Amino acid sequence: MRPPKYAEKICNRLSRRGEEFSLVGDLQEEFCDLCSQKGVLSAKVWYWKQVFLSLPGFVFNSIFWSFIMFKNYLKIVLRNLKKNKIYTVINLAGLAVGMTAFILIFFHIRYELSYDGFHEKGERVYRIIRQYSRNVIKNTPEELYIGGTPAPLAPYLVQTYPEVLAGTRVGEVNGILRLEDSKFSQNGIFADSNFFDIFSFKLLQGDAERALQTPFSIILTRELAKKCFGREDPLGKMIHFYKQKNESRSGQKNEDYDVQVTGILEDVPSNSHLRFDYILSFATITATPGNAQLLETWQRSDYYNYIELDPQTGPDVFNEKIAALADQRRGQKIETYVLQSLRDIHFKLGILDEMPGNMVGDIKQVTFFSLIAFVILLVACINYMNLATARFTRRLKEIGVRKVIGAHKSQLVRQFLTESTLLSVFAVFLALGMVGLLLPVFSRFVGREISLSLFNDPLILSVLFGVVVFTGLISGSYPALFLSSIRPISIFRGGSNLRLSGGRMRNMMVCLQFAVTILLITCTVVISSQIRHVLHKDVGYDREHVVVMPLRDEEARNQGSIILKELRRLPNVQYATSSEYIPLAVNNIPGFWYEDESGDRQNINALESGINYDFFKVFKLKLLAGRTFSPEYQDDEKGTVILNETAARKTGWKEPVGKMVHCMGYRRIIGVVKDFHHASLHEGIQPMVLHLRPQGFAYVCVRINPDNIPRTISLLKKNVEKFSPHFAFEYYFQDDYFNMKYSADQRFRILFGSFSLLAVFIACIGLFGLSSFVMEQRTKEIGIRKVLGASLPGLIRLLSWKYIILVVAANAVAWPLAYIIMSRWLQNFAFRIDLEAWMFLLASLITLLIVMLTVSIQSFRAARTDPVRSLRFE
Amino acid sequence: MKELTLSQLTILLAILRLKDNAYGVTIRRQIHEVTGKAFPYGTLYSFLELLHKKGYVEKFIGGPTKKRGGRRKILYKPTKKGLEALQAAQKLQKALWRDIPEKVV
Repeated sequence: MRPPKYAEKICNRLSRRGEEFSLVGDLQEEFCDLCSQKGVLSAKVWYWKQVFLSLPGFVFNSIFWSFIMFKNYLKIVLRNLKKNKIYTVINLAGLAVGMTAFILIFFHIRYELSYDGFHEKGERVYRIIRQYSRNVIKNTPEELYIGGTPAPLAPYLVQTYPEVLAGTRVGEVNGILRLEDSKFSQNGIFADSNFFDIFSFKLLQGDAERALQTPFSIILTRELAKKCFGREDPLGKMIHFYKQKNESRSGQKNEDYDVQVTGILEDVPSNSHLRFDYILSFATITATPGNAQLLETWQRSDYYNYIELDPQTGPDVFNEKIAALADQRRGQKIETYVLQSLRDIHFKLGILDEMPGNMVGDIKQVTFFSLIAFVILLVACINYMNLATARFTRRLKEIGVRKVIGAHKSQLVRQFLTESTLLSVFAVFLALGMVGLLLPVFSRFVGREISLSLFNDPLILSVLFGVVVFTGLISGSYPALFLSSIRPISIFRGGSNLRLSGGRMRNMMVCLQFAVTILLITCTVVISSQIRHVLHKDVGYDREHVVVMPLRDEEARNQGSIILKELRRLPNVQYATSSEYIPLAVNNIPGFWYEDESGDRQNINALESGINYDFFKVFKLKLLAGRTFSPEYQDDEKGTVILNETAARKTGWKEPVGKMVHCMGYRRIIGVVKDFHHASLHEGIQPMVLHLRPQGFAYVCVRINPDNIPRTISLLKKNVEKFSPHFAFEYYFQDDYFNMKYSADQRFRILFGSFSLLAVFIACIGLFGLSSFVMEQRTKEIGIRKVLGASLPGLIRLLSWKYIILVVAANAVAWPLAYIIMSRWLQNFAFRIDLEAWMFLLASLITLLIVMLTVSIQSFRAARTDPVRSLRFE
Repeated sequence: MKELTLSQLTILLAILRLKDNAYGVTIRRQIHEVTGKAFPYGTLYSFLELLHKKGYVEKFIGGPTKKRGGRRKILYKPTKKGLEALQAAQKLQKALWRDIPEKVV
């Protein structure tokens, strides 16, 4: 008669190790008796019942015993940590630094990914943008997108397509708010009355339904309200709004009216692509005289249209539906409207005409940083593995004794995992301390406030927990599996095969670390040289000593020639000019067309800009052919253009000067300017057409002498303010503006560089610890060699050559990887350096130097020891 | 020395009574006979472990029988410490019951 098999198995598993026979035997004995008394079935039922009744007791028992053992493991771990202080410091430092980097990078990435994530309908909301087909403008790395779209678009889509649930529009405001004597030139937007249906900005006071319904209503953010009204209740108060004619694209006339505060908004979070300090109601636009048609026309793409799409309709499906819309409505064959998901807005590079204040992020950077975070953590884990296995050769006896006494393999695994996890728990606390210290520096560096709020942030807590478990498991896994499977007999016999197998794995790990180090150094070298290349590249114009002053006052703009005349008279001002645009600022693309020989119309999409006389002198642009605009020629303002090299090349003419093109009228080409970088170096050079426009410009630019700049600036200020009394004087240097445009790249370089440095540092201390253990193991060997007459350099060579071979081997892994990663990264730039052999060699050389330095300190110390001391105890 | 709990006392007394034949099955039966309570084996063994850990009982490995599927058994025997504990418990019980008639209700 046999008891039920599975029940017996459960019993076996549950009872105490080594004493299974007792319980199972007892049960079987009773089972036998019951069988003979009451029959097999009831005996089986009884057996199962016993098993289930016993379960709670067993579980309690096993927890109790594992707790007892856990206490023992804890004790052993703490003793070991105390005993090997260098080892503890190296491991803890490595793990803690790795985790610090990981946590900081996590904060950064989480912020980047959190853009526009706070909108409740976020997943369903799309912005409509214009896409230019790829073949229109060659030279651009990718498709060209423009953010602005016509005002009637969203209402039209809501009306025509049932799957569009709602639509709202946003427009830019470039005006100032005035309250008695104080002026506020904050950043504002116009927004449709249903703005809050789609976007979840938090309204603190006022009615979300009605706040934007009536004309001349304004919603202020809390901060602005506090600035304007202090502690008074702002609701219902009046503010004066003032905007210059023609200044923004949304208005035609001077706008000058009082608006009433209808709501107070919580300050806009910094991770929103829409950034504003106040919202004016959309109805205000049409209520001002002369603007009635502004929202009806399809011809001006001045607004940003957002729609909420039925989640059942995919954006791709909808894109196809509206593919022909731009053509139907605007007669534009080259552009199509496409949807852009809200979460995508932050990461879309290369959109011209973006909302002001939208900091465009780079998804590649996010990937880079997540990779580097894991790499750093991994390097720290490898440190632990290496040191643990190296050191465990000393603990072999302990393992042997544990096994002989009856420790199961899984118990040993548990013990080693407990050790590594415990260490990673210590490390995470250290890391939190370091993060707390570094956070102010880091947040200043990335340019926003990051707070370490541990306990009300379940995500951070779970990430920390994940990091601890990950580090503990990864770093403990190899030592645990390797050591627990050693047979006790080979431990006590002192088998040499055992040490060897561990060594091989360790060499591979070290090799991996070297590979990571080389990879990171290569990347740092490439990134640095690329960014240096960008910053020092000849952009085709001279940006030094150019002062740019945006002019907001329309009356002042109309007096342009007088202002320029005044400025030219100032000492230290070499040249003064004005223009609609300056290099690096956004621009529109109307383009031009011409008739080729057969009389066909040829369209060329080109950036277009009005400039004034002396523009070429201020920016030191070079002419390739023809002449620049000059007051000597009467027809320059209405009848001539200058093309850039790219535009001239596109026409295919050998001699473009003198040819006629259609660009705001029929005009003659009078010159070709050498290509200059009108946009960021991430983008390519596009065709460009310049025409003379002495009035109605946006910027005044002057080239000044480098001496006594403060005085020159104050003179400029005095003169410009005379003409523009309503607005505060603004100015910047073109080279500062240039550097600012690349500050994201700079930041990336510094961040990447410092994090790679950290990884290299961790690997370095790991190697230091490991080599010290290895040297220690070889003390006797070194002693004997010395006695037999080995020289000091010979010994050092002997002790270090293995690591050098490992570095060389690591190159084989690191170089191809670095090549692949870096050539992909370089594709971000339209103007990039080539990957050259020296970058890779330099990285390997640096690694080799670091390794040599680390190892030779140890080997020197080992080789210097007096053989008497190392051999005395034999 | 800590006093024995009622369950510990029951088990210890059962072991004492069984003399040289105290192992899982017999202990359980003995308890059942005397008190009418049926311990599940899990509970019984965790108590036995506890008694062993406290040093009240010793373990011996007994011989296998065919009935047990050829498995050996663990025999339990009170130690000196266990006997002292029992003595103390008896003294306490007696003191507690002194002058109380047999019929309480």
